[in-house]
Amino acid sequence: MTATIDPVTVAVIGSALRALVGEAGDSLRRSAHSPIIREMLDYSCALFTAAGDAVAEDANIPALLGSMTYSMPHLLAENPRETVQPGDIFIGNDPYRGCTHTLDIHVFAPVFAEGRLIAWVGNLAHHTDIGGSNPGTEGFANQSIFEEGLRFPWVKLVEAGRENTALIRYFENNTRDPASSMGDLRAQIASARLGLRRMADIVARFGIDVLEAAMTERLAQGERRIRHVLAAAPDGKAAAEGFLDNDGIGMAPVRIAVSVEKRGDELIVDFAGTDPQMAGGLNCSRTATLSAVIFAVKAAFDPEAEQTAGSLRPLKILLPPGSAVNPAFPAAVSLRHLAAQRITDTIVRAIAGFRPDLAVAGAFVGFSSLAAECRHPRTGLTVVMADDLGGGMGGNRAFDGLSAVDPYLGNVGLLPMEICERQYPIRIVTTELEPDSGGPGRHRGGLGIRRIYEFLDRCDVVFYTEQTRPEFAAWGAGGGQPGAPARLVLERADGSSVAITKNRLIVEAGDRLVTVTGGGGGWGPPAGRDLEAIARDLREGKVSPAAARAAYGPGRAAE
Amino acid sequence: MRRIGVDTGGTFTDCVLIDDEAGTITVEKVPSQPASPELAILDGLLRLVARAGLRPGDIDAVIHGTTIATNIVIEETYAPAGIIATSGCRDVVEIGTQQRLRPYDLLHRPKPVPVPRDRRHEVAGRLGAHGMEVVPLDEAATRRAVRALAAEGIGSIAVTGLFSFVDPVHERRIAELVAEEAPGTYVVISSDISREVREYPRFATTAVNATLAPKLDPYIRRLEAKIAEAGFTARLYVMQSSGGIATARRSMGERAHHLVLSGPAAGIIGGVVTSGISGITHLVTLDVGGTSADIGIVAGAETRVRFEMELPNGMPLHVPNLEIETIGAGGGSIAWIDAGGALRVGPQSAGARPGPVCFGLGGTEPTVTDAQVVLRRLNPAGLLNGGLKVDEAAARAAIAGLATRLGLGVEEAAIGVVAVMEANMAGAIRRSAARHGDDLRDFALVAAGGAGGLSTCALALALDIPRVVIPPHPGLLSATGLLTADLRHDLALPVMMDALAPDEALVDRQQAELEARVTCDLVEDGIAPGRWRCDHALDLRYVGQEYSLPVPAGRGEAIEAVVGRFHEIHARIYGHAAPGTPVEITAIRVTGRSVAESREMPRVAPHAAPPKATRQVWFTEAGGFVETPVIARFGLSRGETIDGPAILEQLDTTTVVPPGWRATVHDSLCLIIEEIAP
Repeated sequence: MTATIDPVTVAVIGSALRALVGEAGDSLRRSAHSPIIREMLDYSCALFTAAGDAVAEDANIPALLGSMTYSMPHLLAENPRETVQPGDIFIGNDPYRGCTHTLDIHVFAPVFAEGRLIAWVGNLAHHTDIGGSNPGTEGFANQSIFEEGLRFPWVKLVEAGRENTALIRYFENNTRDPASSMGDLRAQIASARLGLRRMADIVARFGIDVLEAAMTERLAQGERRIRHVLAAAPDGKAAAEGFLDNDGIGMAPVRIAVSVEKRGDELIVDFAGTDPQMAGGLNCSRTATLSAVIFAVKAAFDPEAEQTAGSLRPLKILLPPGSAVNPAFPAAVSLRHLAAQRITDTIVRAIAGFRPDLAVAGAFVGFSSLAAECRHPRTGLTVVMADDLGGGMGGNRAFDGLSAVDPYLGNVGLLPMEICERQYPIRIVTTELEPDSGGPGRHRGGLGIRRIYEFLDRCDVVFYTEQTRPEFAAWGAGGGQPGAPARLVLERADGSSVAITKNRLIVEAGDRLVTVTGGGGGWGPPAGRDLEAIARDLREGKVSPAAARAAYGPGRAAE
Repeated sequence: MRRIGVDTGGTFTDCVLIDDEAGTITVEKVPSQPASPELAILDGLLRLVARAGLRPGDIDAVIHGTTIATNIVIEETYAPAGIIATSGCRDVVEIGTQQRLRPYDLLHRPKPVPVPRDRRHEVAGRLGAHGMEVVPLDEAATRRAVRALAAEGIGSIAVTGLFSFVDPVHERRIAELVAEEAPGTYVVISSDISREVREYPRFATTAVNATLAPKLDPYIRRLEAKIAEAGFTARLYVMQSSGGIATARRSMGERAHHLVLSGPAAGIIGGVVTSGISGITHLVTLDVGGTSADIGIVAGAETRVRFEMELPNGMPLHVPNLEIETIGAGGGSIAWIDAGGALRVGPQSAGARPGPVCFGLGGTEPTVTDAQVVLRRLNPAGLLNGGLKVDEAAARAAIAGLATRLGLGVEEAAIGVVAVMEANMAGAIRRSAARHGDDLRDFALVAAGGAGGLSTCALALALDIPRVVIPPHPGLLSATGLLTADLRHDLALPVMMDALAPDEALVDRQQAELEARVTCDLVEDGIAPGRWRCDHALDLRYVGQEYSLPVPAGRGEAIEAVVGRFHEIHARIYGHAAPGTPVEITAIRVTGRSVAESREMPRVAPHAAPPKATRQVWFTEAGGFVETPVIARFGLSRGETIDGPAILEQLDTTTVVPPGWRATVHDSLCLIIEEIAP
């Protein structure tokens, strides 16, 4: 390997590698079957050194940021170098072998040049179903990983160019949606192969030595950049805690504790004090927790940086074994997203504790969702409708918080009302901003969403939400006040109604589900809010006169 | 036929006159006047006509490409407007998809909202998925809402209702009530803007229309009046986002939002012109400006039109538009070194002001143009025939600062800046092509804009594109595109039909209805029957998919054949197809066009060759500066070849022919540049 490489070649190769993962991602998205990949963009592609360090990553959804960096070491440990051949493609999805949850299927292919293993290309995609107790595999009440479908250890999906048909047929036979799963798996294989072809072009153009030197230097640049940014920030240490409403089975809250210390050009994130792993399916697998940490660090310190393994080097992350953020086998982890959002929110809160310039309040992290198994209104076939609602983000030193968004790690789209009513026996009566849900402050928290679903036929529905308890609502910062919590209410056609947090129920025609998601926390003392901003909120009906009087004082509200 | 194309850009307004009988082409460039674009246009038109020795009344058509709508949506300087929404959808335009444009930004700026919530009124009224009335329209509440908006002085109202594309009954009634309560108010209903399912894109488009029309309509009228006053009797046409042109009247009101990509679309049509004259049917156009580069693809001499796009702020727009990929890479792109020591170029740009350091207009950051001056690919003695002074020493000093920090020589740093920008462009071109499963080895790369010719050969090499085409006037490609575009009307009707058991009679009836409507439009536009052309398409998808693909279809063609074509297109674009699985038809489309009377471009006669000059130019292939011939492009005669290294200059474009490449002057005076076979 050449000892030195000029920065221009590093930049040109870097651009080529970025284009490679981007193109591999486009290819995966284009040829995938399920809307979760095509419309919600729940996939990621990356390129690694032979040692498994990510040098380029195309992460569309923040929840997957860096995930493959943490699964790769397991693949390498389970498959000694001499067993890896050109034309191999590996598969894995086991949360206890470095993956996030069983639905996220990882695929890796080794890149060989002149007989030498020089790199890996990989991708991961969220599949619609991989078996288990519930349609769509996820379940808040799952009590072990054995309820969460197939688990692939790191085995060869393709061996020296030949597909492992036994494995693929076994997979196909164990999913509720084989057409979609097989389509998505083929898209993953095609994307990996495209990456191999592009790598061959890059090797032909630059040579192995220059390419390897450039990859090494890119990692070093990534490390230098984050260390520089960290060194420029004030030293400090702060702790924060956040809670889940419950563990999916019982009613007791679950505590996430984190302390973040910035010392020189390093960052230590320690989850000591976090509650033990949960009985239900909300545990956050180790890799999913690590992704949440690196999202929070990136967002707080260097949002524009390219993600590489180099930028992870200054991070020391301590996850107590057997805890909700690093559960021990065989804990269930399928709904890790709820915990991951809360973990992210708690880390942001801790970092904001010693970084006054990161002046931002808490966000809605309840991820109110429903999945309904029902009959298609035209064809009568069984279909599964799914919808996830965001809420408000926190006010911050620059702006009011965003209203009605899927915050932090998520960024999924809302189901259009017209699509819903055409494809499912469910009418969405209204989708609107929820007045008074944003926490008051100098910069107000964003508003939550009110969406009302009216069922036109019998449906088997799974509902869940987090952040229903007022004490766990989005926190205010710098003197700002908390946002409103979420609530789900099922109004039966007979006039009765019941509040829900997590439940699976049969609903009948005429029943309605009222979902109100939470708002973001306010930033800065409400007394500091600009009169024009208060007037605009009142004019726009985002804050009611009564709430304005309570938050900003009768005098200011009257003005 | 004497036609003028006038393209308003950020810095210059370009005018091109083609006189078919005389076989001449005349060009004029005047400074743009962003506050009153029509004044610059008038100035350019009058100078152009005088230069050609004609009078305004001699001109038959004026075709205009404008960025005025583009700028309004980028800068969000919308006109005030109101919305009247029926039950449950007042906040749709603000909630959008609930996705964030910048997911890693914790201090995110608020979402774009063209109409603020206090100007959005909700009135009771709801239709079900199949158009049956679930809640009747509350007319009294509607009247109150109209009066409230009118009292605030709002002169433009968008009307939005769920499932209005199935039955516009509520939306139309609301429009009538607006006319009764507030006569003279501009009112637009979502079912007239788009007949496609999905409320957010339809409502957002309607809201954008309501905020554009009050600004664009007066502009178009002023422009028409100004040129009429100046003695022009020619009809005024405006370039649409679809790459077609429309009469001024059809560029207003409910079609105002069709102008959002008017300027960039003309550039791609310029690519079609180049295709026509050079005989090369598959082209990638690369239009490099100061701040950004637009990439377009012409395949089989046709542009690619899609029916939905996203504005820079993330808002969707339902409008026929050409696929254009824009990246932040241009002559003004700033080179910088990040905290980790990585060399980066763009997306920040010095633009036209303060501009590159070498232009001495106040720029202090090293840019790509400065690097090109250091490499002496751009003439260090000055550009635009001496109209633009270049300070070579300042460029060197700017790049030297970067070079020191990178530990490189000044020229190595300069070539590095250019190489990084080109690598970024190469990635964007590859992704654009991959989207349709294109093999770049079948394409030629066309330089457009002033700076395209500097990078095309390097990009062709990196992308395995076998040839480069430099049109006669790369800097005027957009303006020439205007002159050859078809007049075009796109219409669609939503349906929901099993494509494997179709009601062919119904499809035929609806195609006939659409064809009658576009024909009627063409008649009104004054197009002679001999020039009418109607193209049909059906939107198809596999049952279970959310998005459809438009598939070309013949009028009355068996649906089975169209379904077969759908599988093929699906396989090409998405990599797989599923023949044998259920397919449904979701829309019936027709495009009516007037075939342009002439796509011929007058052939510019080669000028007398000025004496050949040389200058030292840096080529990595040559290992440094080499004495390089600098040739006036129009001094070359047809069939002549020039082997690189060479620099070909013309008024507003510099073309680099690297060592190992050969430029041949095509019959059309296009330069075709290819690698010399080893």
